[in-house]
Amino acid sequence: MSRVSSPLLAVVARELQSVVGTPAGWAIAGGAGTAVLTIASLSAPMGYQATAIDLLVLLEVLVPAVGVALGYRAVLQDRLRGEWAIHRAIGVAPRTYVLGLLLGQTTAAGLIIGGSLSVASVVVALRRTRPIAFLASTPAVADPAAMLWLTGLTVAYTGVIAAIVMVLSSLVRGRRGAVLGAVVVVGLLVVGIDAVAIVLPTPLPVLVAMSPGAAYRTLVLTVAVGLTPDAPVGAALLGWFTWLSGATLLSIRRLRTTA
Amino acid sequence: MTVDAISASALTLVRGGRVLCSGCDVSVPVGKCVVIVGPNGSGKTTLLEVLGGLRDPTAGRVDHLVDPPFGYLPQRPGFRRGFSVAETLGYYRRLTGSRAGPPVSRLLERVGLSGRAEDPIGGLSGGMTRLFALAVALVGDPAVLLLDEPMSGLDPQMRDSIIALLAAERDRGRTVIVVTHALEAVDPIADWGVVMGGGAMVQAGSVADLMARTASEGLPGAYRGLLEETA
Repeated sequence: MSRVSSPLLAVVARELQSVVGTPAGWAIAGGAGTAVLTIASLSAPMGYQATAIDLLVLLEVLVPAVGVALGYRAVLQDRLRGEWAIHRAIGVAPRTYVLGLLLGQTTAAGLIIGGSLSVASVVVALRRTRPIAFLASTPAVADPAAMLWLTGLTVAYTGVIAAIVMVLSSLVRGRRGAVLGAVVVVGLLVVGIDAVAIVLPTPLPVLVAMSPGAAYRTLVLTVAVGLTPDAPVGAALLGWFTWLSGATLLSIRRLRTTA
Repeated sequence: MTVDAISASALTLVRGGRVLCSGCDVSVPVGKCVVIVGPNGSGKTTLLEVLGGLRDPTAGRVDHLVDPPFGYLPQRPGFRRGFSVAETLGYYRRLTGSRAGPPVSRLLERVGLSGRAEDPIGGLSGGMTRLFALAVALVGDPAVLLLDEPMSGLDPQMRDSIIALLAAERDRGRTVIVVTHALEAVDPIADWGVVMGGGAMVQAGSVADLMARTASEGLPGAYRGLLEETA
């Protein structure tokens, strides 16, 4: 194993074990799984497409909530306990540490939510009945690909959220600020940025690029469900890339100057 | 002739709007025990962090003439819950890659924590957590040890054992930089002193030079003498 990859993998493994090894991690996983499976059970008779649409509303709230719950203290606590300084002294580069945290947080959140969605797909497969006539106009109703795409896009969205949460965790100075910041971040991601479109008329591609949540909704409705074929998919992907890379670089920059 | 492990020149440190030192030069010789002393809030921890490359100076330059890993013991160490003592130490060993140094059992033995390997990290007392943090600082067999109050909260017997450990590291050619208020405890192993106080660095040099300058015996006497000079 190379000297570059070994510290990175060590940081990733530590993040994963932090979730698996704590009651809080299991509580978050249990709560998220219960919510997803409850919606999936209720919607399953309507088929894959309807279940994906019903789950979308839940996931727009659940993904930011899980991402914030798992990660809002990750960098902060390491800084307050002096563990980040120990990493620096050992020679771990800020980029290695940030990428390790990001991959670990994304994997943990992705396993929790992606795993729940995978079980939900099985529930739909077992419980779905004949498609209702007005929905049967699109082939996605009976196509399990809708749930597969939903799962893949949702896991990707957890990565974007993890990067944004890491910026919060690296910028705040104390626990109180972290909790307050976590509430603000969830609010902004779920409704705040979308609300701009209500207050200030904003062209759809701009809104989709600005708001990770709007981008997620656009991608699911277009790629997974196939309801909005003309939606600005390119703007959504560009927005995600900008948030992911910008937030990651900001965290690295912050940790370069912090003991 | 001494060879430096760390060399800082024209160093200015400002923390919370307060100038801790201005235009100072500090050299840390290889294989010596350097003690940073001063009153509370004089900037000892900030200087340690800057010398270790953990924090950038406000102005000036710090050159590391030896390669990482460095070992660092924070002033108030703590570790992630949900892991055992051995798992946490194993994690830090993995971070050092091929230079992992002594095994976990040997590291725990050196700091008096043999038999605690499977204990949950959150179950250690404050003193034990400090000892464990010292074991983490020794991971990777670092050329430089940066220790912030390593004796704080330890009983006298354990203090003596830590002093013996630091002396052994220095005698192996490792550079040991210690921030401490326990001047009497570190006096037997202190080779070099950096005395902070009064909003600026007061003096830096070999303990012998500091004692000669203040006509005093030992590091505690030199420290008091230097502070009286600037009062």
